[in-house]
Amino acid sequence: MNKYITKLGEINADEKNIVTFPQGIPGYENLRKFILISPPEISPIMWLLSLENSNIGFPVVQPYFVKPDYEIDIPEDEMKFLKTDKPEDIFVISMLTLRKNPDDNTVNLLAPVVISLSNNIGIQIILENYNYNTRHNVKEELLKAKAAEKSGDK
Amino acid sequence: MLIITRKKGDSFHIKVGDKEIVINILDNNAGNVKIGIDAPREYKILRGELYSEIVSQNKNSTEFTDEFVDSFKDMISSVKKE
Repeated sequence: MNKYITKLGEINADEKNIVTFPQGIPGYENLRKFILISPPEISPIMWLLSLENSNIGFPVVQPYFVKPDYEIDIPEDEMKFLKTDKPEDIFVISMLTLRKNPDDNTVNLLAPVVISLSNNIGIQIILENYNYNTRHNVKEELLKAKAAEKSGDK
Repeated sequence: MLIITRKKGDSFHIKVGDKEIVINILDNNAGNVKIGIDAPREYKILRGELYSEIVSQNKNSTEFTDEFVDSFKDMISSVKKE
């Protein structure tokens, strides 16, 4: 266990839970060490926190929470980068942009962060040829998903 | 920054170690330049505005406060109830 100062204060992190982003994250290319934590009180939000810069941390969600039919095909090159060939190793999260007015909250479905759970390597990938963008309104997507679920029930 | 002038049909090569990227100027028509890029598969080619958009969303994402998290949860509960 090591102590780290993060955007949310001091945390203890076990070496084996640290996620390494060998290329950093776009905009933060020099930051390599992050930790993903999911405190139950903020579920479904999770935190992806930099362990190297205490100003940097992202609220994230699993994209399926916002868009139940979300699907991505991770290109072979990126699977190689993540050093895995098992889809079940892959954990996908999407960055949230939280605003003062929660109706304006957005989620980036175009550029998900994918983490290989077997070795804790991560990368933010940019999907090509998908109908996703970087700013899906969370409320609208949730309402759409709810409507789709209802019509499916009938 | 290296600035070079090329005509339609011209190309230039970028060599990095034993890897090579070839950029072909295919067409130049009223402000639209059509470019063909031959690069090894592991080189990701992204439109500049797309990468900038992701950088800017990442920067926005990191600017949150606890208060926003609470309102997010309230918003979810209200959607569920509706």
